[in-house]
Amino acid sequence: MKVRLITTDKNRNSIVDILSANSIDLDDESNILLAERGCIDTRGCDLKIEFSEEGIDELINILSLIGNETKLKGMILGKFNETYKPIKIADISYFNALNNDTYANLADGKSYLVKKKLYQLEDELIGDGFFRINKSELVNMKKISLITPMFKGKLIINLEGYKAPFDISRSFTKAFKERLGF
Amino acid sequence: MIFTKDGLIRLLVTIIISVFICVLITAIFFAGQMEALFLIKSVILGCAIWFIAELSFDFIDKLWPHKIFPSYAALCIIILAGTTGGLLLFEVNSFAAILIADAIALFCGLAIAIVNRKIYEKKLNSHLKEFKDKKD
Repeated sequence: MKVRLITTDKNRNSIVDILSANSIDLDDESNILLAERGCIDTRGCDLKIEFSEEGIDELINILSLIGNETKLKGMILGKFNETYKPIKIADISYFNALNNDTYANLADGKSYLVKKKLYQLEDELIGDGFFRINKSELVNMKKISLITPMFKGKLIINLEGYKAPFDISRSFTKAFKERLGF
Repeated sequence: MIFTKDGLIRLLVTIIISVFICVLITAIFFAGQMEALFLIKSVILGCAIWFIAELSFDFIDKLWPHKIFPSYAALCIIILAGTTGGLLLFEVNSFAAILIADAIALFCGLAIAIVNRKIYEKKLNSHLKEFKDKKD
């Protein structure tokens, strides 16, 4: 992976060292721009990652996630307000699909746009305790605080940090109960 | 969907219960003299109650998907309709008898529904707790 780096002289050497340690090369022609806050030259870039001195550690985490898919174990990259952030899978309450986009939702109410589709996440995260409850939602079963049975076999669940309950579609109810060992 | 596999199983159970009640009542009150018409009427009443129940629970689910009380209210109406219909079917015309039977049916029906639901809810949540403990 190649990036264009715009940073202060003070931080330049240390960032270059960390980038090269993560197999990320510098290239002034790259469409990916890493710019330290205050250095605002964004000409001709498709992706701009702006960072502050305090955020360098997190920046390296993100770059290593982008650069190496195998490091994604236990983490997922989410986008919020044009900012990318690595999110722990265990912290995610549920994923939902909306208008062809997929969002990772945390217990604090924040939603991050994620790259993968719901069916891909369903396949990948089955071992992490995630379960598809209807055609547009995939929940972290460890975040379920209460299961409430309704009439005609329908189930609704409450997730930690969320007031509104979530419906488990009748077609998913049987598999859900089996997953619980019921 | 209204007519699911589970819904059809409920229909079958309703028909069996209708036949059972009909046989029991004719055996006790009509000295075992079964009238074919009674049996047919009883089964038709059972089917009608099943149909109304399936429709009303589905309708309530669409209106109040996360509220349980409207479903209990519908259950009360269904129990009252079924009991009153059944008594009229067997030519019980005493208002007092219908009132007493309705009250008993309502109490028993609601008690069974509430207790069953509570037991089911408790089991589901204890399985959830076990699942979470295992995963941790």
